Amino acid sequence: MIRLMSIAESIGLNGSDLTAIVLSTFVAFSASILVGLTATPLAWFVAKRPNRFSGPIVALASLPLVMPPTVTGYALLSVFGRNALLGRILERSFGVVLVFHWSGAILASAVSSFPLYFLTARSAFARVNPDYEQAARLMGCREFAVFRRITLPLALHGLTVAFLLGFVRALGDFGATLMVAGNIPGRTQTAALALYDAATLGEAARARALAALLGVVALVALWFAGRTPVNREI
Amino acid sequence: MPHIMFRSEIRHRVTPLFDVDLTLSTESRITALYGPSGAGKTTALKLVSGWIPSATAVYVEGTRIDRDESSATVPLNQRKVGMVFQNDLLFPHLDAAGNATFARRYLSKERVYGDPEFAELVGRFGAAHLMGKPVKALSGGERQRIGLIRALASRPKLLLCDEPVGAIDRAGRFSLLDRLREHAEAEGIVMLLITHDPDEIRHMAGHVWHIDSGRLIAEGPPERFFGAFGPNG
Repeated sequence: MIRLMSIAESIGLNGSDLTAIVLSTFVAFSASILVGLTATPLAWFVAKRPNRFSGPIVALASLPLVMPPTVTGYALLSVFGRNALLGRILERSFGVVLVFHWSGAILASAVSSFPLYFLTARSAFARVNPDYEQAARLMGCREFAVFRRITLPLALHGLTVAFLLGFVRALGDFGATLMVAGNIPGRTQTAALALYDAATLGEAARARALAALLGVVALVALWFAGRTPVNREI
Repeated sequence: MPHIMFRSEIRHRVTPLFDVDLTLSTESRITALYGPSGAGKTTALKLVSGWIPSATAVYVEGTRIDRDESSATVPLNQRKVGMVFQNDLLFPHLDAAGNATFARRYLSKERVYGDPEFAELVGRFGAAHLMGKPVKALSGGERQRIGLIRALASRPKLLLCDEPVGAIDRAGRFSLLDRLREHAEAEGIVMLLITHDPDEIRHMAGHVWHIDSGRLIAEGPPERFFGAFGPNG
């Protein structure tokens, strides 16, 4: 730990930045899991059971991609804030307060990264040749078995790319996280927020180190995503 | 009693010309579907299997397989129809063994790899050495062998074959067809076979449906269509 601190200090970071990096990683990973669990079935539904609701579902799920992040954050506050209906229910029933709490950062990052995961996963499911699924039905599989034994394995590479893109997007979320969780060093400050602090305080070395770190993580994730053979014929 | 019959009442957008009312001959368990490309042969198989939803009634050995006793539609996964596809449709994420055992393992809820009955089936089609291979490493003919085993391992009542040996050389083709016929006869399987080769039809089938533009234009024994020595002989 002492060695890590000395390495961090040598590149211009302080103890609070290390906490922000750890928190960012935890938040991004948790948000990606949350998104994977919710967006995967939705993406499958839209890709494999197209109906008149598909268009509105895709539009709604993609909205955070094009909205200003502050609008996403404000919308979350309007729903999960301490004076909002759902926020009150969560606080009274489970004692959970999302605002100015790391759990709020997870929620904000999840909503921000949802569209990237959802759209990539939808494409992955859509690329699975429906003849394989129909053949599996003919061979005795029920619908869940078709999903588990055919659709999911064949879409797995695409879902891995979706996870990586969602993770990187969650790691770099700024606006929505700031609106919901705030920017409290040691508690809710993520690496992207710490970078904002460093830049506004004129701490150039610290800002450069944080920017470089976030950039390298994103680059590595995208490199892995690019190596994944999603375009093979399936 | 006919081995199989089906009557299509569909006016499906996918197959606007398809309008069939056919009864399989009682003379043979193997019927060949014959006709030019685009005649509707593959569509006929897909209608019989339930692959394409339709109002087609399908009877095997006098029992309707697409509706139960209360006239409810029988799900595709319970129809006991085996299908061998023209483009084999082997699952690319499974190896040859995973493909060959796919239906059997699911239907019987047991691991069949190593099961003597399954081993005999694999041996009959000379595919034991292929079992550990990934699908990508198989030749066209080997893929068709695995496709045949996969369909037969599900213990179907009705087997639908869409050019099942098209990728195999002529010498090996008839040997494989012989094994297919032996297995079908031993297991009491009713078979519909699509092939473009009159020699294969004469070799396998006891009855022929000649289809064109989605309609049955003639039916009868192979000799009626191809003579004793083929269409040109």
